[in-house]
Amino acid sequence: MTTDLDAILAGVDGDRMAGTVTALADARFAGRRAGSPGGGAARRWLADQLHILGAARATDPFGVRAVAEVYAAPEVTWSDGVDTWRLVFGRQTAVHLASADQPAVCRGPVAVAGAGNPVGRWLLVPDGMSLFDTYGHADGALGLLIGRPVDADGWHFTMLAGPDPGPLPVLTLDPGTHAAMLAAAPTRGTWLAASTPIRRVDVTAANLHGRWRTAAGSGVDLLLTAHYDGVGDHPGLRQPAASDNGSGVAVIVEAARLLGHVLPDGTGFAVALLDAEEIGALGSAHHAAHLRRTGTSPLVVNVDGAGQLHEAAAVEAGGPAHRLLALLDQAGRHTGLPLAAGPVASDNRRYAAAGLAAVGIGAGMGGYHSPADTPDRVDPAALVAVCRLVVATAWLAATTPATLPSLIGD
Amino acid sequence: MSDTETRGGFAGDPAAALTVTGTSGCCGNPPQTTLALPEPAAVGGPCCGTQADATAESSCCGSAAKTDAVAAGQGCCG
Repeated sequence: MTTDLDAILAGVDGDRMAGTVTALADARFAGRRAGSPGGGAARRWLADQLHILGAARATDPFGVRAVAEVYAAPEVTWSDGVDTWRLVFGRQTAVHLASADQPAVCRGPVAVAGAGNPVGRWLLVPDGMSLFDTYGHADGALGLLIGRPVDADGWHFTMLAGPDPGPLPVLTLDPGTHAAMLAAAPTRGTWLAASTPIRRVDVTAANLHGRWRTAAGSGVDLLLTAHYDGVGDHPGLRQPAASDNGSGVAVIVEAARLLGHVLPDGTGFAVALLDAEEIGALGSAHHAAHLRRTGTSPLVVNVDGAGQLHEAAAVEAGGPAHRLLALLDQAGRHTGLPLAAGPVASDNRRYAAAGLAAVGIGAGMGGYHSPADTPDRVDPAALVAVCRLVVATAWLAATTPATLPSLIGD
Repeated sequence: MSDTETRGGFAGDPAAALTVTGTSGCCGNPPQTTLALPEPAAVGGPCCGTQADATAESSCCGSAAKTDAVAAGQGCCG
């Protein structure tokens, strides 16, 4: 049986997967934010790929409320009373997820939160002060300025899941700018003028399903998943979402290409390309609830991040996954990919929470929620290694019968 | 390729993946016991920000979870 597996593994095509990543990162898909035109276009492109691979396809829409959207680049200028600087959106400043929408530029003096009168001032939030605590010092303030680390390329991270909007405009500043303002704030002439153009939109997201085989008899039912949505482009700022999670989608589509028509009869085999992971894993929550309602219990393998591979791929499991973990371990040994228990905070948790055996696999990212997440940072060797692992796990699951029935459903 | 000739697979007990360290912090929950995800993100980047975020913000973290996350050097949501 391993001879058959090795023949399948020999077909894993890194160039094909790299091509999928490049396609998903293309500007026409605009970073694939859930509910956006770019997200819908990416889903249709993926549906075409599944059709080519011979899958029976279905699209499953669901509503998502209050998706944050920065609809214009914020205009941010500040002065220490002598010099004036215009901050670069994405690098020196970004709109915080908790920000209120402030389309017009508001100018006022800069002060430090908790020190003096806040009325009519932009308040710098000192390191160590929580946003919640800051609100207690911010009655009548123009807005808040929070220091936040940037990535190795100097970009702010974009997050779509997090706090609800508060009563004030909130900007994040890179550590250097934040420190410079803190130093200048006691100076009488320090001021800041800024807008925070962010709105919340109710959208329709959709999961894309492809099925090749339906489980029958004692055959195992397999579900491979990856989220195709990203955090989306900002005005004037491309965020291609290549590693997160074009890479995972590429792995799952390639695994489906290799497995869809060769698994043993009786084996169920489907993929779910999930939407709205970046907004709280809502696509997998929607799908997991459906599976639970219908009494369907596939083994779930989710991939989130196959862009880089360091010492080992991280694996997080949930639900009755002991057998699935044993198969994954065997697959890792067969393909030579080291595995380590580590957090994979992604869609796999939704399936596990619904009581399904689920594992999440995350190798690594070349970039994360920023313009630095580009296709050139996705290593084809990492794609190949993770795909081989997924293919081997699925094959072993389909061809290795459980020797003893478990009393605990394992 | 023999299964015993490579150094792949888990170095220890695969079941450790069921009790991943850090999933009780603010960036994750025990996957078997909750339907709520405080912040989805992926391994390889900051889960939900950085240790500095965890220190500075409490937007979706209870104080105990935030303390745990900071102590563990993990990120924090929001």
